Amino acid sequence: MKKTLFTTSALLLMLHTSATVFAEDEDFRKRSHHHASDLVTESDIQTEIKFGRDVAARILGKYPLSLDSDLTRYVNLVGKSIAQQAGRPELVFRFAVLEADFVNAYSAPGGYVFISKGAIKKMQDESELAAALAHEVAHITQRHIVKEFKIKGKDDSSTSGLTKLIGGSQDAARVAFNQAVDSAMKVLFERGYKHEDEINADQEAILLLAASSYDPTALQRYLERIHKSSKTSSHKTHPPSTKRVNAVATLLREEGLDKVKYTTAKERFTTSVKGKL
Amino acid sequence: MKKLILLLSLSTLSVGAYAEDFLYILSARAKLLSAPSFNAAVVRDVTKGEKLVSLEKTQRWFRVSYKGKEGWISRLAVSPHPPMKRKSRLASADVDLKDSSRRRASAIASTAAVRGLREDGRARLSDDSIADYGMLARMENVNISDNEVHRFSQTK
Repeated sequence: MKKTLFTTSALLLMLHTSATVFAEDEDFRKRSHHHASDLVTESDIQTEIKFGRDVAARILGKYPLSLDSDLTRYVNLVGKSIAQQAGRPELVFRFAVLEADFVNAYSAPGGYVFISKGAIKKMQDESELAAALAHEVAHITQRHIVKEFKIKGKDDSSTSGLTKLIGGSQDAARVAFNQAVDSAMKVLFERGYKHEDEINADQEAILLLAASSYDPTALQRYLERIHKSSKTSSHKTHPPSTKRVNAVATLLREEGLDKVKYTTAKERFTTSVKGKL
Repeated sequence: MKKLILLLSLSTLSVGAYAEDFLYILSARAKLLSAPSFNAAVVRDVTKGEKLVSLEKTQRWFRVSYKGKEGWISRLAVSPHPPMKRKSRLASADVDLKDSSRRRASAIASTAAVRGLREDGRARLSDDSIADYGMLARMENVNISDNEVHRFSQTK
């Protein structure tokens, strides 16, 4: 009996061991797969910030920065409230107002967000400002430009895009880096983001608004107003507003967010921007 | 026989434990909700870095357990990886900060040369080639603490 028990125990122990190894392998495979597609290293983040700084400096070379410290502070508080919910705690998000009458907003990798005075003039409350900033924050958190131009840090791979170029000090590396910055500028000011990236940023923005307790319909309201109003709209670098508004409406309905009663913070917005635009 | 059953049970439990998936809170603060909807009741608040057990996943939500309570959390708030430390601007800014003036990106000329662009091509490129690191430094020097942001977001 003892021998039988020992044998059975040994078999069970083997079964246990092999099952554990199998489970660990399954778990490891799952995580490895996730890592392969999504793992971001410290070096990747540093490179993203360096790249984003160059793009941000070019944006500020193109349009003047508003030096109104109260307005800048207010826009930063709204933007950072949203960014705190956005799942990129390793980045410092920074927000700036551009002295420009057109209606648009831009973001550069690494946490740099810009909005024109013209865009703020079209807004009616703080939730709409939060919506526009959330859309730009989403482009950063989803790494749309980073993925498109394969901006990565140093590694040993020979097929890692800018990896070795950015780490190197040769002229060719600098030229390649600047070519990528040129390309990012074209995305922002000429070609626009890919349609799916814009839709994705809208969807993320709505969820960020809800998570930050802002009225999640704010993006829909703002896009509809911009769509109706004219030639000053940002169609050149954004998909047609009708498509965007429809996609936004669908998500609001699907998630039950069209009936949520969160704040628009209209009073604070009115007080904060009065006489500053 | 009892020992056999006990051993078999322990074996099964052990395998189950290894198969768990964990999620980490990346948002500064987030809410664990009773259903996958922002309208749902709050089960409890969670803060950055806390570790949850993932039980189920939908397109935009995870069902999780945390400290004996189950609930739903927006996928925006979590990641399978722990949050990274915040990166300093100085760590990646290096030489750029030394040049705080408005300047033309010098590499643009060499970029254009490498591309073999003619003068009209270079002129078009140069429209976007002014980089203003002085203004960038002003933008980066606006300091607002996390606590100030939290107070602001609580009082709207």
